[in-house]
Amino acid sequence: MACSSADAPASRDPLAGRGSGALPVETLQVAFAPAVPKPITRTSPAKIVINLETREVRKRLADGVEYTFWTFGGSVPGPMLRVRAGDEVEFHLNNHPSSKMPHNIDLHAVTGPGGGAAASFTAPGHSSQFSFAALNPGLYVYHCATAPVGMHIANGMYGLILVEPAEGMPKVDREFYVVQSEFYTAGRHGEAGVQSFDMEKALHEDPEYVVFNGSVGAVAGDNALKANVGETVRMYVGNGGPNLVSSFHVIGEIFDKVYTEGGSVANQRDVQTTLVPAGGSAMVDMKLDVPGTFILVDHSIFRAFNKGALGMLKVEGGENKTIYSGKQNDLVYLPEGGAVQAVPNEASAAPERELPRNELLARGQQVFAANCAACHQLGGEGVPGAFPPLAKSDFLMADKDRAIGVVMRGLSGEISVNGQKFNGVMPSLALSNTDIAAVLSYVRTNFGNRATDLVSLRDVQRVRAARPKP
Amino acid sequence: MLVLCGGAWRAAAQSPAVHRYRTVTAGHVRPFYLAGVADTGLAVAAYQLAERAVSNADFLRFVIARPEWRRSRVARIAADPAYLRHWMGDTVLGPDVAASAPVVNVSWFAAHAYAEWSGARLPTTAEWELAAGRFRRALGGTTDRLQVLLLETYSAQASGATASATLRLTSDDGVLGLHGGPWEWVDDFNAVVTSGESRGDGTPDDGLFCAGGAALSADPGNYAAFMRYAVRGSLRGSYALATLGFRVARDAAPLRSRGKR
Repeated sequence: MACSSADAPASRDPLAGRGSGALPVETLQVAFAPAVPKPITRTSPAKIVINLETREVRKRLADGVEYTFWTFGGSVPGPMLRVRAGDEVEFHLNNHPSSKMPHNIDLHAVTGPGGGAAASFTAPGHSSQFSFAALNPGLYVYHCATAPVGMHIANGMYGLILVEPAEGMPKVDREFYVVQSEFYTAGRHGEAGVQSFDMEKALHEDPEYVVFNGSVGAVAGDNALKANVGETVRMYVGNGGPNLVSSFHVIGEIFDKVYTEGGSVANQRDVQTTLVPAGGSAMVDMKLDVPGTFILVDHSIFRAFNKGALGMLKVEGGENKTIYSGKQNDLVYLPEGGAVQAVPNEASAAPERELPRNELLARGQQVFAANCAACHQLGGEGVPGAFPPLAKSDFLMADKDRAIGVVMRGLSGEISVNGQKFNGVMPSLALSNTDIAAVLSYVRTNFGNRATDLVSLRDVQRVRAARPKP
Repeated sequence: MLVLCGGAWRAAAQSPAVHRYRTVTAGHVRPFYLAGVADTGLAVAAYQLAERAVSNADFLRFVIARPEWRRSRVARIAADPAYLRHWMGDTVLGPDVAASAPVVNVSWFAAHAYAEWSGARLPTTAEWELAAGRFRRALGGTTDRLQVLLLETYSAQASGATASATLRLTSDDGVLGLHGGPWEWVDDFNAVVTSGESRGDGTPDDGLFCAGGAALSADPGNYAAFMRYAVRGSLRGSYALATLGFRVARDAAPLRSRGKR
């Protein structure tokens, strides 16, 4: 019976339940991305024999673009491995005879020098063997570590190994294996032909391609991940680098649980975007509630739209309009309604009261200068043929109420002033009653006009009340 | 295609192939791993290097003359099971093998024996690297682009594509095919002892001779050299690789110097 590590973390020792007998031997069934090896049902340790082949293959990086990848298992990323904490792993690294380069492997799940690199350094056409114990549960990167290490990684030599905790990973309906990585090609993104590795770009951390699962579109279109509404999905996400950190996000979904950096504890809930370190991993769980196509991206967004870091999860099933309704309405948007609204013309806030004579005339002079002089001129002489004179104006002086009405409501039509005909339009002026009284008092006692009485506020109010507003 | 068909022919095939040699002028080589080397690098005396790598036809003459080096008879300690596996038979190349192409799938012991039989020897690492760095004339007076071209070439080779034509050019000393073909054995291939843990090499206290990883390399940006040194570091004397051949060398003086090494 295996020790359960769930309730006593301090004494967690995956090797403790071993007993003295030899472990049963199993050959590992690997799975190639995006597939994940089946969950482990075994409840006790075993000896797992893993055979991994390193091979240099030329294949598609993008449409029209080929690259000579250095691979584990002939694919980028290499296959996903799955063991259980406490297992003993007998690892065979087989370097295909057609390889030009020696290769080795550093598995981040290994506790030991080089992660196995020193023990697995293998010339082409040869095989190396070493063994290790899977001490810690978690999701770990493995990669080649032969000099020049950057180039071996940059050419595609990485993958993931999942070490399940003794009690197993919590069950989900579907599991997917996705690894982000970059490619540094001599040619620009999309330049056709067989591209070679560009060391300058790798040094400057300026890739031409940032992709999921080893090529542009590897997890999109016909290759999209597929699931159904109502299912819980876990993504085992790796980042082979060699340089960039990923801001992993699934558009339209939220990670219900995140095992940050691929650790063994689901330490975060309700996360939108999680960091996946170069040479690191993350596990994200989500429940699919609505159908649609959900886009996997590195949210350093130019990588997604211009360099290829874009994948798809296609979810089928019934809709749920409460969770997501889609577009409900499409209306014309006019912020002021159908007509142009006029702001009501507020009269001056000046107090309505009878002003004493000098105050009235002083005010009248101001109002005249501000409102009347423009047309009737400062001396009241008007402009012949255009604006009637106010100076010594018979028309003005003949009828005080009529004068008030002209200022208040404007005037159009032919009139005769001092024997001259005028046929223009005088606009109404938005003046307060006080101001009308003042300006008319001023004009009627200036410019040669000799009024004996001023225009009072009461006069103006009477005129305003007498005729309804048009 | 050579066919074994009679005693008279056999007698004539017993003499070693005649290799044409080029003189590689003396110079300095900065060894890739620098421990214990002056800034100027290692002084390398002038020597003679075969113009071309040893071919399948050359090596066939050798195994005819020396039956103990035939595929079915060779001691396993001297050559692993991949030895000459691309040939059709012990002394038959077969229709798929180009007689004039560099022989591959030969172990260091076999290459060493061939060199002795031919009155020659294998070049040392320093000698080989000296010759392989000289492409000034071929690259129009400058070696700046050599590294980039080498990386392109090594990438192309791995995919099986034809190597960049540029690198099939003649070296400044007149040697052909140093790059763009198989890797080549050197006499002291195991003098560079790396642990295979390429990131941590360079701790002098672990007793390894001349060990040095990235931390101690003369030129960490020289990925082409990294690759050659990594290949050498992965080899054992009995290894026969489909991507590894050799060429012979001899001292500048016509006398055979240096008996045992």
